[in-house]
Amino acid sequence: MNMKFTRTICAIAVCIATCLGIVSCDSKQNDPELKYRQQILNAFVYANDMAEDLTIEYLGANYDIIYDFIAGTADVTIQGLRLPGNKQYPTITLTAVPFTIDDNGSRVLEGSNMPVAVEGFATAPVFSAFKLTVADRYFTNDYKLTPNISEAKYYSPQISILFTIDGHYRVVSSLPGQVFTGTTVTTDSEGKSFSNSDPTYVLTLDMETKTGNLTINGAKFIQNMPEMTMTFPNIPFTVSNNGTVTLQKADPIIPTIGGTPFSAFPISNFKAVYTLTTGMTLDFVCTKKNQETGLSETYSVSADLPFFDKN
Amino acid sequence: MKTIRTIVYAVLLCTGSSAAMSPAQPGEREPGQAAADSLVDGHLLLRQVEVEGVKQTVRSDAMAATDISQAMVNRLGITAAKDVGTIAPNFYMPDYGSRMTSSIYVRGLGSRMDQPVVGLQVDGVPYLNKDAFDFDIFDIASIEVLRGARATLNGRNSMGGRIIVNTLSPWQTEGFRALAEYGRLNSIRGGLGWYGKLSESLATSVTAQYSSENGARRNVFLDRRTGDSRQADGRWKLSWRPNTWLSLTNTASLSDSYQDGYPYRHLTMPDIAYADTCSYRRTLFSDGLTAVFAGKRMVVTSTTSFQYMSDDMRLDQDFLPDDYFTLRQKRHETTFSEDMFAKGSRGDYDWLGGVFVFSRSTDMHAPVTFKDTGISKLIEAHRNDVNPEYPIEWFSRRFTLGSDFTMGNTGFALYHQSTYTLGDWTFDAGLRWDIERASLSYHSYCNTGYRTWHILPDGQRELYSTTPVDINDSDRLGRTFNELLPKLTVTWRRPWGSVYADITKAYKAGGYNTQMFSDVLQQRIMGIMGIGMQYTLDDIVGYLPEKSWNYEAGIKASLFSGRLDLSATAFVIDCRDQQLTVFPSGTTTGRIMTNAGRTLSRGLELTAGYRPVEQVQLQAAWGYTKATFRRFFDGINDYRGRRVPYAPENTLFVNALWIPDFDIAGIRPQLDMNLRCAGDIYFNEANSVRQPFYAVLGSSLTFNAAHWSLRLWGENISNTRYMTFYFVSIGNAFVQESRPWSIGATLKVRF
Repeated sequence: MNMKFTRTICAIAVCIATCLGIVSCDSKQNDPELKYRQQILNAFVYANDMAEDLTIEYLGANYDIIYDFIAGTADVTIQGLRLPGNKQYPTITLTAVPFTIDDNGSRVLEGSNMPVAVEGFATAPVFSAFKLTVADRYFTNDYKLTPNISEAKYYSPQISILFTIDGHYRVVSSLPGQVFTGTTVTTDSEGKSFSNSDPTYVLTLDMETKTGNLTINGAKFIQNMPEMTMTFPNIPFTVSNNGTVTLQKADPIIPTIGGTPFSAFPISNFKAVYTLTTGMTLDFVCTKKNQETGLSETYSVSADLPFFDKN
Repeated sequence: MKTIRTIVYAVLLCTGSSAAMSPAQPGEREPGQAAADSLVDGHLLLRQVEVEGVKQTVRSDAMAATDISQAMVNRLGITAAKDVGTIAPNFYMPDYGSRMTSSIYVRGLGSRMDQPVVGLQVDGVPYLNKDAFDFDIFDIASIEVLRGARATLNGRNSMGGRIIVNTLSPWQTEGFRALAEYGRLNSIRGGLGWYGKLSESLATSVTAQYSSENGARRNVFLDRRTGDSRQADGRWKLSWRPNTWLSLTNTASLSDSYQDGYPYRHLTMPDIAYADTCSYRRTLFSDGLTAVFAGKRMVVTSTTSFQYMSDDMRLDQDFLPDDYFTLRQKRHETTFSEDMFAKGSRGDYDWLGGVFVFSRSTDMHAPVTFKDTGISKLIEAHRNDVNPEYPIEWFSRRFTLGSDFTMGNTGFALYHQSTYTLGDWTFDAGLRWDIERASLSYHSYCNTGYRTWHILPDGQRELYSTTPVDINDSDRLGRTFNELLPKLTVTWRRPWGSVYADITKAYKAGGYNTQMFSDVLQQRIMGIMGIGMQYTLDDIVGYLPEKSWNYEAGIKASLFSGRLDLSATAFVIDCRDQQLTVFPSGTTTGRIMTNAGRTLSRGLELTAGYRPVEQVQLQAAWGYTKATFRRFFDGINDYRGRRVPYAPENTLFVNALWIPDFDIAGIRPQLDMNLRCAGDIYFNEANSVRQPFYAVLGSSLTFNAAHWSLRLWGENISNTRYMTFYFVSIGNAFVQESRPWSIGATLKVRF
């Protein structure tokens, strides 16, 4: 299971270009430039034609962003953008999108009716609204991402890309995977609660099956439970126009632990809401069979997993 | 020259001062042994002074100390440092496990593994690894047990005190000495030594001895004795004093021992019964060169030591007839140390300053082999109980968790002590700065795997998955420790004795606990299966130094013309980050170190020596310690207020000696009766298992002649049965019982 998780993390990392570096230096001594390039590769896209109520969801869009920290603008090149009705734009470039750094340290690129360059089209699409948010997030092994590799560090940024094209195509785009940390609270049937901030949640979205897998590393829902690496597989999800991904399943989910299904711990009433800009909250009910009494004990589990510390 | 004499007199006064335990007795000085305090023309020359270990043996009156003379060593049959347990109050060194298990408890402080609380030196050579503390010595001349913190002068691992063992000096002993001993359990000991001067400036001694003993218990599963042991050792001492201001002494020793150790019995079973071999073999070489230079204004002493230890421990880790797992630990360790200090005085002011460096390097190979029962009960059952629909089955019924370690410790210290005498008052102030680096390189490896089956509704099974378990972890950890150790002492001298008060800070070194690695690897395997805790290696394997503030006050008095010697000591020890050995929760073996929080020890020590008449000597030493946790929460249980385990609440030693003033045909008899007591001893933090106070009676009848002595002895003639050790491992409770009664005879010849 750890190897699979490692591959997931690596896949997330691969989606983000490692080239955050200076891309150009000014050749003119009197006009300094400071530009950085960031690539977001293999992002998922949810595109909804609000007029026709048609939707497509796929994996494979790339975003190439060049930040000009002197000018306070960025050029964003989108590759592989597809829209409902078989519209495809191999390459679109938005130039001079204004960007700022918000209170969370996120880079926010926002603009409307910006100049657009597109090849092979007589008429360029109009981006009536565009907002791209990126926040750098690093994890050390303290977050139990890869046990026993003491010096491992992982990069899993918060990314939210929302834009409207031609007034009726709404596009939501981000990484197909994300890492979350926060506080998990378990409440038993008698109302006693147990709080734990150690677990790490890793979400991966499969755009073909429209299901997601949620892996909890260091899952510990009650005091005397050993920590486990637990995966809730194949949870259906939907994406909304406002940039949220909702995973929900009323039927029991059989978690896998160490790659093996554990039917003794069914998960029910699962709902997770992942807001691309703020984080994720989730709720579910965990059932555990008491080995001694043979009776089942139920626990309500809630987790608040924000990207940013609320304090 | 006058200054040198003054210093030498001071040395002699301190080393020769009588303690409550060993006043000079007629017949106690053996032929061939020159008096240490002989004078020539009224002047004392350096040649005739034993200056080994000047730093430690220059005891002030502000010190709780127990002196054990050679006569006492002989009549009590003391052959090793551990034999002085309970003779010194609040000093306890139980004999369990093997020679590697040298656990010492003093005033509530102590540990069963890794760092000791008491330092040991033999002929000035420090022994830094407590796994090498337990060895027999042929010709012990004296043992001093200094209780209380000795950190200012001795640094690390002197929180509880220091044991100073001196062997016979060739300057004071001449001729051959031979020993032959036989006792119950087929106990045999034989030894031979030669002492003498090769010239006016060169003296040497060479000794060798061999001992063996049958174990007292039987492993009924293997149908053989457990506890058989044998040891051979030799010592060569060479001392050169070319003039009155230079002395060089080199002591080299070599010992080899083998032991079928670990006589642990399951609490519910009547006998010891486990399936695999438990043994311990050790080869220990030690060499120490002490150089003393007596200048015009100061005496400079340098002690350079080198030690090499090679040992091999085999352990049935579960101590059960079932084959759970075994451990084999092979180790090679080299240690180098250099301690150089200078002492001087000017009027009422005395000073001492020194530097100490050491370096220790250890290579260890310690694989744990999981066997059939261990795999099925600790891994498969643990996992399959929670998921019977998808049970796992290991590839093979045996696999090895490999662990190789290289450990390094390097330290440097500067220290100083100033003493000012103002009339009847003496004021001591000292400070030591210790810095130490501990490092651990490890390589953990395992190559195994398991199959996962799916049980179908009809009861048949199909293969669900195959999971290899390939572990190959290596890394290097390091920690640096930095300590400042101050000391303040005030002494008030009276004609009848002295009163003192002392405040000292001490510490026990931190480091890395390699025994936890097998547990870490087990958790790695469980982690591959998705279950189990994930350790941060450095947090679990590493442990911090233990620090203490020691507050002590005492009084010593010699009354009735020296017929009655009394001493009383009261102490409080505030210990923080105390290192405790616990077995980790869950089904695992191997002990771990944890820094427990905070403990408080307070107690009292009383000693008395009384000679009602010349022929009778009575001695008693009582120690009481109340050591409790002020803060210790292990994540589940809060042990605040509970007694610290393994350290006895009381120790008591009572000794009566009768040496008549007559002899028969030149043979003088000597009758000794002694009682050694300890308890209550708690064996866990919860204080749910306790060994009540117990008393062990011993006696000896010795016939002394001019050139020989015959000692008829009995140990534990009361046949007292008590728990020496108790522990719980993988849910099973084990106990080691005390040694049974024993009798024997020891013949010594001098010619």
